[in-house]
Amino acid sequence: MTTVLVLTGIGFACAALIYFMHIVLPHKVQGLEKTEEIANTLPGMNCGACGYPGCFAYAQALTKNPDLISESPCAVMLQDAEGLERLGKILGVSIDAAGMSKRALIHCNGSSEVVYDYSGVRTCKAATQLLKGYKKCPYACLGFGDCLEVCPQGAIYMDDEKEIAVVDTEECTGCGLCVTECPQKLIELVPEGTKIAFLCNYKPLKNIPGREKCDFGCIHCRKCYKACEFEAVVWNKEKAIPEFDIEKCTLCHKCIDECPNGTLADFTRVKTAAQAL
Amino acid sequence: MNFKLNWRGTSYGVKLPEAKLTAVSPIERAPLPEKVIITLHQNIGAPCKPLVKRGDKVLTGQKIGDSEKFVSAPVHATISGEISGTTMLVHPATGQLVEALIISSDGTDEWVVPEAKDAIDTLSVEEILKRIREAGIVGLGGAAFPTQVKLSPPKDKRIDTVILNGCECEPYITSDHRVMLEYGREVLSGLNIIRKVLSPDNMYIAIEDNKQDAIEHVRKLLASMKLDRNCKIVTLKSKYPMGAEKTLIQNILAREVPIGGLPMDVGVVVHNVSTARAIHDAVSERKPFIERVVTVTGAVKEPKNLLVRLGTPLRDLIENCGGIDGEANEIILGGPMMGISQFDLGFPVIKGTNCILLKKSMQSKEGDCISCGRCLDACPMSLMPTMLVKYAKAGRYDACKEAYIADCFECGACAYACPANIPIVQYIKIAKSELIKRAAKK
Repeated sequence: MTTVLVLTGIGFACAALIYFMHIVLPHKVQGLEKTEEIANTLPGMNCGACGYPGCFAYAQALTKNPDLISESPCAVMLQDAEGLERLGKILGVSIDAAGMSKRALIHCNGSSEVVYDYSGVRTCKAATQLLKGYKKCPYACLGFGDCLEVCPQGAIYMDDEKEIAVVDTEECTGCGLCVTECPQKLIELVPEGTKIAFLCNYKPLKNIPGREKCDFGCIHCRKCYKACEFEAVVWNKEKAIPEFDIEKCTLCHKCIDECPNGTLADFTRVKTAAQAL
Repeated sequence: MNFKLNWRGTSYGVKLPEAKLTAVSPIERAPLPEKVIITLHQNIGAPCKPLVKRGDKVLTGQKIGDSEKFVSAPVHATISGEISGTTMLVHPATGQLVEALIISSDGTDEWVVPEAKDAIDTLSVEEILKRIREAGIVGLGGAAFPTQVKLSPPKDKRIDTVILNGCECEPYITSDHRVMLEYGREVLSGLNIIRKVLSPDNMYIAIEDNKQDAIEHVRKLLASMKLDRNCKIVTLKSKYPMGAEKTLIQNILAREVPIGGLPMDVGVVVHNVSTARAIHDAVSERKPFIERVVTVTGAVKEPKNLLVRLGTPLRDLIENCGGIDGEANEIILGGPMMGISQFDLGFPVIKGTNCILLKKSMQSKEGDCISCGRCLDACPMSLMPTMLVKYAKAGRYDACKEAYIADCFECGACAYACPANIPIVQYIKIAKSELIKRAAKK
């Protein structure tokens, strides 16, 4: 009997203590209101593309320094105009989404010849360590899909015929995780409105015997540069590759038709190509 | 004096089939190649800058590339002739793109005028180190670390033991074995020079017990050269990887090299027997390091030990051995355990090349790890390869670092022991390179 009474007594005492604490202590952690508000606006998928371990950590950093949104923006937020406006209001800064939004572009056209049978671990990281990969072009996409694994949006597909990865530009948010993952360093973030895609990564340092570029790479013939009537193609003399002016380009496809190796492609149509896979 | 040590307590390592096809074939001098390809980055450390340009005439032994960095070794022309061009090459071992010079032979093999020889006893330590540096000698066991760096330890580290490594624990390779038998005198003279530089208390020559003839030969030579008072021959059980630096120190001296440390940290320096021979040639004969013994073995008609000029294309050597015999679809630079497969017979022999092995590749499907623990038993560094692989697969490279991945020297004993055919070493290499990349970012 005594035992029952003592235990019940302890139970009531604890309940009273909990109730007392409930009244006295604040219900929310002080100083975190703003952070929480920001965190609720953020996508909450914890992809880590902003460089912080998860959305809440990013929100904490944003609370301290609102300008961070333009330095390392949340790629997923940039696709959502409404959410971005809300976030801008909370932070008290205006966000220029169009200027910051990027898309991943894989600078490879695929179909490079295979020089040796590779039979090791089926990841790009492992394959690059053995003599710069098993393809003839030492800068080619190896097609094991390391980028595919890290993409939080699932926006990268495999082109089995050409053995390269293809980005769906509509689903891609330009977070840049694939850029750091690719051991061949052939993914680049380009502005969202890019019209012409340059699909070659071969660096014309010096000829490497047996490791020349494939038949689909840039041969630096400057035909695209000469074909353009709108001066939208700028020749980068240092790298000997064409660069494209987004504003001047009218997407007339003349450069694409002129290119003898098919190194150029319509960037807006890469999406449809990826969706077909 | 000769004494036998037991394998201390542990049972790590794996017993491999020896397959030393060329153990009894004497070293043959390969004919002069028509052209050589000299890569300007052959060793660990800084790459060299070319000292000659296209069209220049060079003589055998002329220095054609050098670097000002401390950890570096110059490269020399290995035949006389004309620099017919430069090229980029994928380095056979590291996979980096490196610059290379091509020399077309004029067929005369005209040497640079050798500098005056003098007695070793009269030389100062600085002079010896300078000569070793100028000759471009690197560790010839395979790692190719510049020798003069190994021979100039920091002042606070006293080297009390020198080990000369003649273990050659990998299957097929016999180049060190033949060097001990045929150039034993030079090897010991090289050891004498190392002794003069480091003045250690003890010196050991470590040889595995499958090379009894070499043990006998070296012991006789030691007695005749009156070196046997401070130098002992240690006979070690033949097991892989007995010849690895850290394993060797553990087995002979029972000293453990600290995590991430060098043998210098426990007062030991290990040199390969071929390196000792090269040191003798550089210091006493004043010859730069331009040729080495390479075992060409496996699926060739006549496996041979060849004394070849550096930069000779692999094709020439295989032709010299009668060509490919039977089915071979893999060519490995180095031994079967740690060597790296090549895909082009135009690749040159570099300083670290001790063997060219042709074999039929065995492709096996990677299974799942059943945590049997055989790799743990095999690992000479007492690491946990099974965990390293699991971490590397999951991308948890920081966890790999905490599991002492840096101590792995990629001997491949774990992968050999694995019943599921998991390419453990390759996973470890991925994790290591990712860790290096991350460290470079910070």
